[in-house]
Amino acid sequence: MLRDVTFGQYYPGNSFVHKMDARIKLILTLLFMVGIFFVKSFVVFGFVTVLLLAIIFVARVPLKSVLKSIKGIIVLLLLTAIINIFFTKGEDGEQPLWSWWKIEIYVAGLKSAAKIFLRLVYLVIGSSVLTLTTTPVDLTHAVESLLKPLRIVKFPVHEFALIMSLTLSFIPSLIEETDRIIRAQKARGADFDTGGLIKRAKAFIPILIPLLVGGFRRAEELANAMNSRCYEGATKRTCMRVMKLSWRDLVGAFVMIAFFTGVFLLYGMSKQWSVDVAWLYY
Amino acid sequence: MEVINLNNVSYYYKAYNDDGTVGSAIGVEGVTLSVNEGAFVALVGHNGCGKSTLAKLLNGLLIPKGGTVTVFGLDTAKKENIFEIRKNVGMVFQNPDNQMVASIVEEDVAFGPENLGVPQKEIVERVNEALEQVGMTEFAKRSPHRLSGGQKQRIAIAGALAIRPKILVLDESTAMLDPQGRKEVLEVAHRLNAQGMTVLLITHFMEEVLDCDQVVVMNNGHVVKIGTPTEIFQDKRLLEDAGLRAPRTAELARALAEAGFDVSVRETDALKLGGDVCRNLQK
Amino acid sequence: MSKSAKVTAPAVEVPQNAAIFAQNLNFTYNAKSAFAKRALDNINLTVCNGEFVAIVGHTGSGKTTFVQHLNALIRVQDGYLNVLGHDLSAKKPDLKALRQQVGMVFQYPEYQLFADTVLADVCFGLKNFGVESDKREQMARDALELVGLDFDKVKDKSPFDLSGGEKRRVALAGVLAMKPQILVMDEPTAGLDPRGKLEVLSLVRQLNQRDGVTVLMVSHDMNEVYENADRVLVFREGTLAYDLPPRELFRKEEEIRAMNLEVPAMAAFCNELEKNGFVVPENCRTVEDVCAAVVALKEARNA
Repeated sequence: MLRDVTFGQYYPGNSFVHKMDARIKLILTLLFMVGIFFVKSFVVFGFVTVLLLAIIFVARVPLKSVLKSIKGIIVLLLLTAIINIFFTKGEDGEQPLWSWWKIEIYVAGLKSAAKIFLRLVYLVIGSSVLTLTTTPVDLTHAVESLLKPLRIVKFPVHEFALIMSLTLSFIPSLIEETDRIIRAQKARGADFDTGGLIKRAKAFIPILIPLLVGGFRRAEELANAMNSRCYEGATKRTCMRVMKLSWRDLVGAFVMIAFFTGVFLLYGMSKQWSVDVAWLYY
Repeated sequence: MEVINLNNVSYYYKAYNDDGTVGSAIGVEGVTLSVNEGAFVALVGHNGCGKSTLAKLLNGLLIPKGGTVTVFGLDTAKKENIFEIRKNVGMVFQNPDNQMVASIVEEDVAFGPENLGVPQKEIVERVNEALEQVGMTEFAKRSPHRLSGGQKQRIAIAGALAIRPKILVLDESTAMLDPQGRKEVLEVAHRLNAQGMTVLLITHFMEEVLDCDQVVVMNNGHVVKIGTPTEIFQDKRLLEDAGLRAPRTAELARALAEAGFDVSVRETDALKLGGDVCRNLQK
Repeated sequence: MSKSAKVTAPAVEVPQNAAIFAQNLNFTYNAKSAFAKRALDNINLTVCNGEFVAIVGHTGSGKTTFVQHLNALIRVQDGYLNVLGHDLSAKKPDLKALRQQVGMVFQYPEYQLFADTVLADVCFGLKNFGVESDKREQMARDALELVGLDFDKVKDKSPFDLSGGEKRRVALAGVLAMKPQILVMDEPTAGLDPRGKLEVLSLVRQLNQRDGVTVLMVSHDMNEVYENADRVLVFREGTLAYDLPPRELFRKEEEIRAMNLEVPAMAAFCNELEKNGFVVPENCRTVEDVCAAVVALKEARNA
């Protein structure tokens, strides 16, 4: 039947990475995502690969479930990379590797396509390490906590987080309800699998309307339940969940920041002294 | 001490007439009722008889169109009282799935105290205590949607208890549960009542009202009778009019007594009734 | 037809007069994955035409999985299943014909109403199953009147404007309009008040007794099961634990309680009498029947 949807792709565990504060993980993931764009050479990509493998090892999540996250979009990533091959011109004086009509392929194009591909793949892997080791609930809390400063500009941080939380808690029953309605209409002879596009689209009305009606019913009951439990907006609300930083967060943050400080430095260096340190350029 | 007082309370819903004009439909009409502290009161009636409307009038989810509702002396019609009233009246509804606000059990239970602005440490205490009261401690970190209906409803009760109310209203909280789940919820309700909680149980399962102090029967928005469970069970006409039915054992006891058997019309235990009938037959 | 097809499956002999026949039926959810869960474990049973069968068991006992096999909402994975002559173990059973003959009423069926008028909603199935448009209205009228609604009064109303009990009846009419030969119902009385329950049950009994519809009713209410069913199937952990007439089943009080099921009040009463050496007729299950039987016992003694 259905896998536990509320836990998303969370891979239950008790590792160093699992235990880290969700806020720190979120920030470090963002750092990783930005940092990866400053990686210019294959050698440094090698370092990033080692870093990622090390994180995955420490997090004790199977490599298979990490790679599963790319499976769905690999075609898209490849396509992006391939397009890049055709749009990169070679450096001055470089002969095209292959040309036909107006299309020319240079070595530089192949290199840049490979790098773009790697970058996108690592981007996806990096974020999936976050979601594999952090529950959506923790992420919600992290987002709420990190967005808190936005309250100054009247951004409804609390309401935003509450909507996220309510959505998470309603997804499972919504899926069950959809499933039940589909079965019930099928039992009344509804056919969702044959016919043209319009016929198929029309076939979904008997599913959508009951879902919509059910949604309103739910909303009303939920509002009553929330009011009964003294909900009056965010004004004086407190929160049970405390997020505390531990030594793990310091260690984790140190490793990541040190690594990417290196990456940024190398990026700057490769611009200045590219001739001297040729390997940075490859 | 009287904790809830309804004085000639009426509530009408907006309804559309067949010709499309706006009219009104009776929710409840002319209801006068008083509930004492520590009582276990059942409110029964067919679907649409107004019993859920009455429940929603008790904590200001609905405000009476006529008459007054007071809880601990506070009038629900006054806006400034609402928060205080809701702190004292915990309410659990019919569909457990539609009252969950979080996807982790303990966070759902914490919702009430969080709204009250209770300090973090005390929230944890309250959540643990509430989960213990309903026997769901071991599920604190779980996701509610995989639990049984009875377990979900116990969590909803814990969510109400964490506010530390003095009155617990179960608004058809057993209607969607299987017998096992209903038993679980009723056990919790009776245990809480034994500890001093005033409980108002709204239901149409007459088997559930057996152990109540008082049964209030509603029909078409009106209170038609207030009495003890056995008094109510014997009033066949009343129950029929109200679309209800006494537990089968009570029906049989009455029928046998009418046929001249020496059995107590108050008997609600099928085994005992069987034993009594055997002695009658063996005489 | 298919000469090259597998001939390994032994010919299954379906008993005469069988509406439903299952042999070694197995089903596993998420087979071949880490989440694999056995839902049906070697189910063997026959339901004859015109029977009223109750199905009981806890959540996860396999009862819902089983009933969904009956109109191929769940396809046979392993074993043999024949419903009204349709071989559901075959690769491509005629789903349309099957689903027209096997009406399925889900839990809280009123939540599946969708059309803008009651008439359109009741006609949804008829239309899907290819009933000509000029015949539909009459069939919808029959069905709505069968469930006790005034056709002319409700047909143009929005189903969402009706009361809860009326919605449930419209939903029932939507299934009954197809005149199914087998009616499968998952807790048809859930959420109804006592009067609503009695109305639905008497409708089901009428369909069963007057029109000969085979009824399979999933229920948690043992009193309801006891008073209405000819036979009770008890599912436990994917297996068919008991397949007995209600009186026989509920004589096994210990075993019933061990499964966390309730013993119906009238069964407990009759069992007590039988333990004391009195003979209670097999068919007395309602309060009225039991009372009459006890009075008869007394008269026999006095005579």
